[in-house]
Parts: sequence; C-alpha cells; structure tokens
Amino acid sequence: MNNIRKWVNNANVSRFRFWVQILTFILFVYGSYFLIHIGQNLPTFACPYNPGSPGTCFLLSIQHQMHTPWSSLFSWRGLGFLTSLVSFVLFFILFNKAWCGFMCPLGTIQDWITKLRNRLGIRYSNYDERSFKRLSWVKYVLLVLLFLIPLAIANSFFGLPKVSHDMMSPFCQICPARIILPLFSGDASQLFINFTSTTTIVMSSLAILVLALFFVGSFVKKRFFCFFCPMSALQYLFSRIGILRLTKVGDKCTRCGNCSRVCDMGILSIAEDITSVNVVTDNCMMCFKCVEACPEEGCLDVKVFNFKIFSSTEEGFFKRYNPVGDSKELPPSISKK
Amino acid sequence: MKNSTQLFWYFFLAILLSSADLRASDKPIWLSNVPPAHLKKSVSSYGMHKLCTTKQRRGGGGPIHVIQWVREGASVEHAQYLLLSDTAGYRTFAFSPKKRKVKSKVLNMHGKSVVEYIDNEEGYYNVYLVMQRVSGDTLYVDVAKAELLSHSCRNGHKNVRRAVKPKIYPEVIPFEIVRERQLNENFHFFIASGDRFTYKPLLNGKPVPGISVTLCTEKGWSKKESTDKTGKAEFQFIQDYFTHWSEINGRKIYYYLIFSEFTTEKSGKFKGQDYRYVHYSTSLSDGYFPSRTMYLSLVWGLIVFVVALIVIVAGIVIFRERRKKPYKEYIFDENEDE
Repeated sequence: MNNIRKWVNNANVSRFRFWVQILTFILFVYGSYFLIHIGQNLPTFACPYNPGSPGTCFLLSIQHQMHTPWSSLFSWRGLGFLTSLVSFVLFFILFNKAWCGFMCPLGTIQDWITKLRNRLGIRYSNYDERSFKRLSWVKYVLLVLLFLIPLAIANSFFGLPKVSHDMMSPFCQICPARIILPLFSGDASQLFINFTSTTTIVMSSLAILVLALFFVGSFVKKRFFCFFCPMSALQYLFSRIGILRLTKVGDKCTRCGNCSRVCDMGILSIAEDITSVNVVTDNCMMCFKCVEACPEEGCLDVKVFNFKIFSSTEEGFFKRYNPVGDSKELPPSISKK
Repeated sequence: MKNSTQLFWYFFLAILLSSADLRASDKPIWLSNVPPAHLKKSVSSYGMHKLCTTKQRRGGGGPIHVIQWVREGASVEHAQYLLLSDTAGYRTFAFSPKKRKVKSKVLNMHGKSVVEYIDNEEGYYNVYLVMQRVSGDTLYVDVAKAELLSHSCRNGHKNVRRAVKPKIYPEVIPFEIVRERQLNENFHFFIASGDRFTYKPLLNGKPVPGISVTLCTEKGWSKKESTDKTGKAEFQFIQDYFTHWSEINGRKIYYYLIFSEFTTEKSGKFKGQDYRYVHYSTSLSDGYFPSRTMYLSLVWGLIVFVVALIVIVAGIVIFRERRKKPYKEYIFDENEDE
C-alpha cells in the first residue's frame, strides 16, 4: 500500500491530465459518432451545437428551463428544473471542479493554445491582484444574467416589456464553444452574423468578438476564458459537496509560493492562505499542478472524501521538477517563474 | 352512331369529374393550428410549434388538450372556420407517437368547431377528421389530417428517430398524405422556406401515381404537382420575400396547406344511398419558418472575426510595448556606507 501511495505521489499528474484531456476531448466532441449519449445536464461544455456532442451542457438546459412563466415555474414544471439540477449535481459531485481542469473541451483547447505560445517563446501575462479580484466577479454577473434574461423573456419584470425572444439562450449566443467545437466536426456554420433583427446582429457580433478575445486572450493568458466562465461560478456554488477535494495543512506551508506560481489561473490565495483547509476557490480548476509543485510533505492533499489519493511530497517534487539532478535546490524552471 | 354516343358520354363524364375536382379543390377541408382572430385570447399555445391548446395553464397539472380548428378553403389566410353540424357525418381519430389511439372529439368553441385530443407523449401525433357524404352518384371522402409534433426538452430526447417517423393508419384512414422525413429530423427540426420536401398521398396505405397535389402557403404562394410513378410529389418551399427589414421575423411560424384529391369509379352504398364514384380528398397542414440561412452571413462573420482579431492583437502589442521600461543599471557598492 505504501509503495502504491509513493508511486502515485511521485507521479507526473500533468502528463496524466494531458492524456485524460485528450480522451475526454474526443468523448465530448465526437461522442455521438460513437453512439454515446451521456445526458443533457453535464457540468462541462458539451455543446449541442456541435453535431458530435454526446450530451448537453447544463448551461443550455438551465437557460431553456428558465424561459418559463412564473406560474409554470412554481408548479410541477418547476420539478423539471429541480431534476435537471439534481442530475447536474450528481455529475458534478464526482469530480468537483476537476471537470474544468481535466474534462472541459474548451479548457483543453486553451491549454493547447498555451502550449503553442510556449513553443513560440512568447511570454504570457497575468492579472495583478486588484484586476484579479475585480474580474473574478464577471462570471457571477454572467451567471445571474443567464438566469434572468430567459426569465425576462417569459415574464414581465416590474411591468416592463418582456425581453425579445431573439435573446433566448443568451449565454450560448455569445459562448465561444458554440462556434469552436462544431469546427472540430467540420461544421463552420456557427461563425455567422445573424441579420434577422437588431438584437440578433448585436448578439452574433458579440459572439464573434468574444471568439476573437478567446483566441488572443488564451494565447497571452493561461486559461483566459475560465476566468469569466459562468459554469465555473455555478460549479463553485456546489463545490463544497464534491467528493473530490483539495486540502491544505497550513502548519506545513512555508509560503514558498511555488503553488501560486505554477497555477494557470494565477490564484494567489493558495500560497497565502494558511488557515483554510479547503483551498478550492471559484477560479480553481483542480488541475493539481499546485500539489505537484509543493515540496512540503503532506502540505497539499487531493482527497476523495477523507481518503488521500495524491499528496505533495518532497521526493515527488524533485522527481517531477528535477528528475536527473541530485541537488535538492529549487529547480530553475520554478524559481524563474 | 354508337361511337358518337359513347364519346358523348365519355365527354360528359370527363366534364362531370373535372367539375367535381374543381369544386373540391376550391374548398378543401383542413385542420388548422391558428385560431380565428377574435378567439386568439381565449386559447393558449405551447412548444416550438406553438400547438394551440384550450386555455389552461401549462404546468398547473392535468393533461394538455390540444385543439385544431376545422377550416375550409385553399387560402391559408382566409379559409373560413367551420361549425360542423351533428348531421355532417364526421369521425375523428387521434394517434399518439407510439401508434396508440387516443381519445379525440369535435368541440364547439365559441361557434367554431375544433378537434381536440390529449397530448402526453413525445413525437408526432396524427389527428384526423374524416367526413363522408353522398352527393349525386359520388361518395365524397374528405380526410383532414394534422401531424403535430409534441416536445418538451424537459422530457429528454430519447428515441428521437422513432418518434419522428411518419405513421399511417390505413385500417381507419382511407386516404391520407404523408410528408417524408429528412435524415436530420429530430424534435427541434422545422420546415423552413427554401427547403425541399416530398409528399406522398396514400390510398389505403398504397401510393397513388398521377394524381394532383397542391401546396398553398400563408404568404399566398401555391403550386400544383402530379405524383410521379412512385406516387410522390416534391415541392420546394418558395423563399419568402420581405419588402422591409422590420418584416423579417425569424421566429414566426407561417402555415401551409397541402392537399390532394382524385376520383375513381367504384360502386357501393353509403347510409342507404348508392354511389358509382368515389371522390377522395385529403389535406395536411403544418407550419414553416423563414429560411434558416438566408439572413445569416458567414462572410460578415469572418470579416468581423478578422477585424476583431487584428484590433485585439494590436491592442495587446501596444499595451505590452508601453509597459516596457527603459533599461536601467544599478551598481551597488558594498563599501558605500563605510
């Protein structure tokens, strides 16, 4: 048992994640071609606009369900929404926010763009602390709008006129996954400007603008889009009930800062917070790079319930970052970052 | 002399039949999803196809009563709404997507007749109003049909292909028209102007070659075709034209009516009355949306994308250049303090 634990703790989780990402990318982008159907409340961007998608992203379901008059929403039809939510939570509870780090096809594409930037030798950007805190709210604003706009299509708020039907599924209309994922199935038909009405022109132009931002943004900033992703915000609301956990033992932390330096999302609190046990924040995507980069024995742990499945160890750290060296000094790749 | 008498009778018969045809094609009976203007507020609708239901709150519990208005006339916009008398000799049928017969009846709603059935399954319901009467020596069999897609995403999307397949009921419906399904049809499929569809009139479940099929749209376009050797008639829905941009409404459902009829020599007795000919007529009404692609521009999409890409990249390059600080060298002298 100890040998297995040692082998796992010394393992290169990033490499494991790379292969899981490829497999899940194939699953969520081409799954239906293999007659796979997973469900319509998935906590990841399984975009139904992509003909190969084996399921539907919960954000689409939720927008669809919110497009209901109050009278119906608070009737048995409301149960439909609740069952969808339960289905989403059941999917989510298993992997927690690792859905973002390991399974989201849009996240995987961003990681590939980052790899391309690395190869080209172009430096990346990070937000300063103030911008980081301010921008973190954007995803919650999007999440609220994603609920409110469909409701305002079906209902009048404060006697105001209802919102145009052209705003239906507003987030899907601007989501880059709607345009990008079908491209992998050879379908470029989503890259359009819709001239049906002023609203559709604005929304489809906004979608193209967000697409351009997605490509350039994720080229210069790791996981650029995840920062604004309402799915991430929604997941965080249920994060505490996830069985997969990322915990920290503050007493063992030396605040070396390795964990925040390797974090693709640029989360500083993982290094600075030595009081919290649960260190999963709304921006965390549970990629576990922080655990890999932590040289302190058992400071950061990945747990299923309370069972440790991957822990930070000094030996693992040096094996991963300095596999041939015999020195136990900080590897230059880390210290320079 | 004998030949000329025969010719006269043939000629007479031909005129009789064609006049019967003209009479019938002027006024096909059909089922419509659109309520009369003055009754719009007394009904409600649901689903992507805006199925007309009796005024009741969806989600308030209980089954959904879908209604179809009985109309007469080839003009989709102006066809009159009928009030069927009890002596009209009609029967109604409704079949669920699983081919189960469901209860249906004709109701009087504010002086207009509607066929009502209860909807509680996913897929196409087939609803029929069959009217038979003898006039002169001809038995008129009029079948008004509606294929109504019932779907709520809340119920999931299982067995889609099976649920959207066309179904026929030759054991009770003598003559009906069927729209052949396209490969990509699912619960979210809709007919759009510019699309091409094949229709097949079936007499007792078998195709009938060489008979007329007429399609009329709400916008006033109509086209008449004859069924080919295989009994099919193909129509391309004309691209609707809007004179003003504001008239375009991508979410508006327009309606169309397709009907077919023919007369055949067949003797028999119906309700004690003898007949020598049977005139079959069937209709099918459905909705269609404006063109899927006519108002979408991929070229503009690409142009906006490239321009946005250039502007954002330029913005980032300029931002990074501005943040560059000139090189400065500090030399610390450790002995400076001493």
